[in-house]
Amino acid sequence: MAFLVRKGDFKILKGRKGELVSEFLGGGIGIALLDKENSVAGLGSYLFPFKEDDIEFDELFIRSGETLLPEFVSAFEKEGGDLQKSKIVLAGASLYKKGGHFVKNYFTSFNLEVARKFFQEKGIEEDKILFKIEFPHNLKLGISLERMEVFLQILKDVKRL
Amino acid sequence: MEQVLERIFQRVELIPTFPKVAQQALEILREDDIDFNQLEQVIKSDPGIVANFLKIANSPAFSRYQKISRLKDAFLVLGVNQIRFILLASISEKYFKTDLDGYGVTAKEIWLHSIITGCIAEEIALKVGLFPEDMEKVYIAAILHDIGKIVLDLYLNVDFQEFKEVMEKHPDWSFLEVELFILGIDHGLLGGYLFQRWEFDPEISFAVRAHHDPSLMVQHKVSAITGMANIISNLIGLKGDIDSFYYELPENLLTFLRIDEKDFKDIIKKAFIRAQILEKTY
Repeated sequence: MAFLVRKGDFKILKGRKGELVSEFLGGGIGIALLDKENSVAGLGSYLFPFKEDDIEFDELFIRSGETLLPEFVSAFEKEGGDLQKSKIVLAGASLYKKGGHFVKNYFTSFNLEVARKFFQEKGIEEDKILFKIEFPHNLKLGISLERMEVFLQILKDVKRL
Repeated sequence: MEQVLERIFQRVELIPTFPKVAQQALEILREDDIDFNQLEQVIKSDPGIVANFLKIANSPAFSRYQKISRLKDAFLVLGVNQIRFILLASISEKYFKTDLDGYGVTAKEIWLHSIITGCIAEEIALKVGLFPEDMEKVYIAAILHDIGKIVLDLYLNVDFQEFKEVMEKHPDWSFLEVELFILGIDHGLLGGYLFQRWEFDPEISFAVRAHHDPSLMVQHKVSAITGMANIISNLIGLKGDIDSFYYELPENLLTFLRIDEKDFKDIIKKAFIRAQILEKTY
């Protein structure tokens, strides 16, 4: 069964069944965590970087990166996931094919920076993270416990990572 | 180019026309002293538009009032610009009712993208102090900017796989060049031409024509607003069509519109919230 992970939200799965898939990420970020040893998978996604960007309306709470990341990783660890041993994939922050640097300078770079800073503070070196960012396409990020893999949906193709 | 247009418009009876009802309603809404009874009678003559109008008017994205079940009640609680917007959004639902497989986008995705692009365009227009009389042009251009895709997808049988192969073969091309290579025309140009045929204000057809063209986009306010609204709509990730980000953007778009970093971020945030609410309306 596949669960949709909306922007500003995260989900954790444990065991050998189930799949998590993000919405189209646009200029936002998707993060997949997969601890194969403990069979724990987590997927989180956000569109806005800073705490002040948290959105609350109609009983919905849409988290910014700064709010989501600590909650997400803490929930992942509570379920037995070990961040240090996990596969970490960071995707999204799509950019236009050419020009329009304001998109990066005023929007997507902040989203990336928040994630980079968070993982750095957690002691995760950047080369341990697989970055799938700044493509000129809209992406979806997913994770499957059955297949024990993280995948990227790009132009209708599903690429195993 | 002329030949391609000729080929497309040979099938003109199959190509959507702009509903007369909407044209008449927009004319009434342009008058200084609007006759709302007349407006109701005109819109009522198309039950499809009435149903869409009431559905959208009842979305919390447009009003927080009690349930609106009659056009008359809607006119009482909505402003003239909101009526215009909802009317155009109702029409767009008629166009965007099938998946555009060649472009890899579902009917729901493209409808939501169109309406949100309209909402964003309104936000930008207010921010940049666009003349109120130009607001209708912005609504039409922004909500219906992708109308060329419908015509190309439905009548020229565009093929997703073929697009992809050409993109891979010519990685330096933008999607405008890809469309031109395969179809002999791009969807912006075709959309602009369609508005010309429907005898709309030239600024509208220009804005639709220019919405992916980096040099044309920054020649007029309506086209710059439409282009910027489309960019922001893509950034919030509503649809995954083949071409979303596959274009060149003008570097001076923000400065042309006099939008700063804070405005840019605020508009994205407002657009995202509205999209969340509107999604439930579909």
